Amino acid sequence: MSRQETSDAHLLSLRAVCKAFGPVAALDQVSLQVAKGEILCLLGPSGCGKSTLLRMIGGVERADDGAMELGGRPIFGPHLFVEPEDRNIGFMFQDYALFPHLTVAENVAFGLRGIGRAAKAARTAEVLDVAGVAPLADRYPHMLSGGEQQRVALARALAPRPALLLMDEPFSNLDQGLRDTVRAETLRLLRSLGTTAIIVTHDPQEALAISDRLVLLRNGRVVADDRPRQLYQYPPDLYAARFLGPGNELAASVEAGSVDTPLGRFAAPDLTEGDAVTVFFRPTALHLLPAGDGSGAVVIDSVFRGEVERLTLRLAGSSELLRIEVPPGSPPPIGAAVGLGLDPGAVRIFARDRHAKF
Amino acid sequence: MAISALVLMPLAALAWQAAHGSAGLWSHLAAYVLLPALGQTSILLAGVGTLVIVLGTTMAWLVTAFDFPGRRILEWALLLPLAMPTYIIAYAYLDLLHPLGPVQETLRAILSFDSPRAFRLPDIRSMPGAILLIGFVLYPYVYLPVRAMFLMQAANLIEAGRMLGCSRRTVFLRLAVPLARPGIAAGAALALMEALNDIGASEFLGVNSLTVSIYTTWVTRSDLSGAAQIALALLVLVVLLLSVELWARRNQRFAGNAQRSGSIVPGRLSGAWAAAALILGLLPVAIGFGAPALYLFSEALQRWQTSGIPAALLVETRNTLLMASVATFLVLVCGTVVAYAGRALPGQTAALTGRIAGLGYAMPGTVIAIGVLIPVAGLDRMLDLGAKLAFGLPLGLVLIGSGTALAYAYTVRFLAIGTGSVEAGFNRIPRSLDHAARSLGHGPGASFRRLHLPLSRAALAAAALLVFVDAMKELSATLLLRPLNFETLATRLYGEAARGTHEDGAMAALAIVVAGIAPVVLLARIGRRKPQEPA
Repeated sequence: MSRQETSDAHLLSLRAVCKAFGPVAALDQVSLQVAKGEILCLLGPSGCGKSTLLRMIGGVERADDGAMELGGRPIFGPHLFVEPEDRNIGFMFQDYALFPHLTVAENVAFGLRGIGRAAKAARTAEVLDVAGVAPLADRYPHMLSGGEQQRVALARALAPRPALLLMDEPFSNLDQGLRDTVRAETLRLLRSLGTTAIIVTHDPQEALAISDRLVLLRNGRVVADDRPRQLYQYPPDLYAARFLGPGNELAASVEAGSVDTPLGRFAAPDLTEGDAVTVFFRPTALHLLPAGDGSGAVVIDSVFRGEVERLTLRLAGSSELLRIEVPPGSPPPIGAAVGLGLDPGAVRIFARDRHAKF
Repeated sequence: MAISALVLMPLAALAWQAAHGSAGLWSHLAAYVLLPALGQTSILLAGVGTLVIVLGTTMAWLVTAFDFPGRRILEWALLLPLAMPTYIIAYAYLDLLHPLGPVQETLRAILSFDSPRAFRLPDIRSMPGAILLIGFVLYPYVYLPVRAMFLMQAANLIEAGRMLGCSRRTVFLRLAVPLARPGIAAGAALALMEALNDIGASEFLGVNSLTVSIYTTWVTRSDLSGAAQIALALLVLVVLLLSVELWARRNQRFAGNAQRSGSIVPGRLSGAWAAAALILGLLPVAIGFGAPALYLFSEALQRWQTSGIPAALLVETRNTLLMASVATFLVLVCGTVVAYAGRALPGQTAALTGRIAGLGYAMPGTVIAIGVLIPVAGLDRMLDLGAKLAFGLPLGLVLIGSGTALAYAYTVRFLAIGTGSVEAGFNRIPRSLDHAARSLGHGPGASFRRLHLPLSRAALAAAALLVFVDAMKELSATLLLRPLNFETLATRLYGEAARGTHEDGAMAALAIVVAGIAPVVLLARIGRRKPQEPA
């Protein structure tokens, strides 16, 4: 889809981009690369700077420092600022930002400039068709449903064949039922067109589901940057581990190169002797055993969630609570004693002094 | 930037000129002109302030808390006095309430007195008269924001008050009024700025206010420095009022954040109570608009029947329309530039420019006129000299002579209306639309043409209307800056009134009032339209 063909493997690269709002550093030395055809998610809690980063790439906000290149062409640097209209970057806004005084077709045609009337009409029709909104061409935005507005916004952003598509929380304005369908459709469309896209989201499930690469931001810094599966299984720190999904944590300390917990002993070769650590594992890493096997625990609470049963257990001889998910069926009753097994390959150990509390 | 310089120049010139007045004259001026004028102005402001607050707030409560036949009409009719410039109401009542005028004649007939000597009302040409008349046309400045605040006040607060045992009357005094205080203060400040700006009413009614002193000091005593000095004193008062308004609006933000759960359900009145409410509500409309408008209409009709439309009136109308159009055009262009700069180039400079552009409206017309006169007259003399040297032809005072100075003064004075309305229009356009247009390849200029212009057309039209009518009504700056023998409807009226030939101005006055109704209708419509609908 992209107009500019480059031999450069990285379509977009950012180097040490900084932005401060008054005394608050919104972005601190952010560097990242996006490969052509890649779908990258910027993930983080609200206020982490992800939207600001997206807006600076789009050029609607100006970075304080750093450098950006798109398709080998510098678009931002010292004494350089390419205006948003000259960047060939598509932007899809959280509120869609459809122009209320223009019809769907006129909205989509808005970004098509410098081509003949016929070419414009043809391209508009083509994009409307691809996005599945051709029958709505003559409607005005306020006559559309949320899902339709989303697709029109996507069509409008894609119409000028941008080298890069930026999407700011593109699915957050849709209700839950619609969201999954629209998300799947959108992703299919982007992949079939080979679009390079950066998608901002605060929903880890969404980020894990849709991205080729996931960049986790915290307080304006990149704290993790990897493929989603890798990141989920091997989070670089406790923050990333907690942010990406539910988990269990046990406090322990390093003794003789390993960590002793009620659930077993785990090797910790890289950590300093005597360090306080947090042992982290997902609820799915635990499995139930008959009482007497493995580590002893008591069922405190049990919640039926449809697809799974979520149990809360208390380890014998400690006050630590653990969460475990088991297939639905007949869970042990509350108060029952059970045994617990833990898959040692799924255990992560983080030194506690760094990101202890947040 | 250039625009804010244009606004600031008159101020700087004023200060400069004031500083150059001779010191001896200054002490004389201070003792014999400034002090009495300051005293009179203070009394006037205090009186008008009290009256507009009482009238505006009670009327707002009347149409919000009670329901009676005619309430809907009353809601917007209460705005009508806005169409009546202070100098016109004074002009109308001078005749209406003249000892030999229709009102007193009727009263005497009813009370069976046979001569003016036996019974007469207190003379309207007095301080209380001025306060009364000015108050009755300016109260809508309080009524409008206070009604908006009453409507916004969460009904559950009022209901809680009722359930805690307050009657409607105590709810009004103990809850509604304190909650609406920011609106009251802001509205009163605006009304007082108008009162300060007034030149006609004060002069006709014999109140020697600061504004009148500026005019007389300049026109009768030809003392520009003295006028500038008084203007500066007036400006201090304006700054005081302005800070009251700013302070009030700062509080308004909190009030506006209160949870909105429907507005007050008006209590239904019937029978005698309903009639009483209607009459009470119609009273200010009748005094501030109905009676003078009717008077002007009948006078104008008589004139027209006896002598037709005078040719001079046509010329004056043409002049008025011409000046108002020029001012509207300039204000809209400058206002749009300022407002769009504030949006497209966010930053200190643009914000400051916007702030400065707002100053003009607070400055009374006489202050601006004196401020404009100084630099423009200087420039005129330079042009004249240059032309003489270069071509051997005297140009004369080309800038003042051509009305350029007046157009400049109008622009400075009304720029705030333009900027404000256009900004309000822009603010309804989400910022993401700007960004979307930019990311779709449109620069700031193209975005403006294809996005902001079509989306804020209504706001631009409203701004044009407001500026146009305000420029039509403008008297004080026009009096000082108009080219020689150039009469607008307003100055013509002033001239007739000054000469004591009131009746002759009726047609001109009526024309101004009729034009003034247009923005009132607009205001009433905006007030009624509650949620913003898509374009």
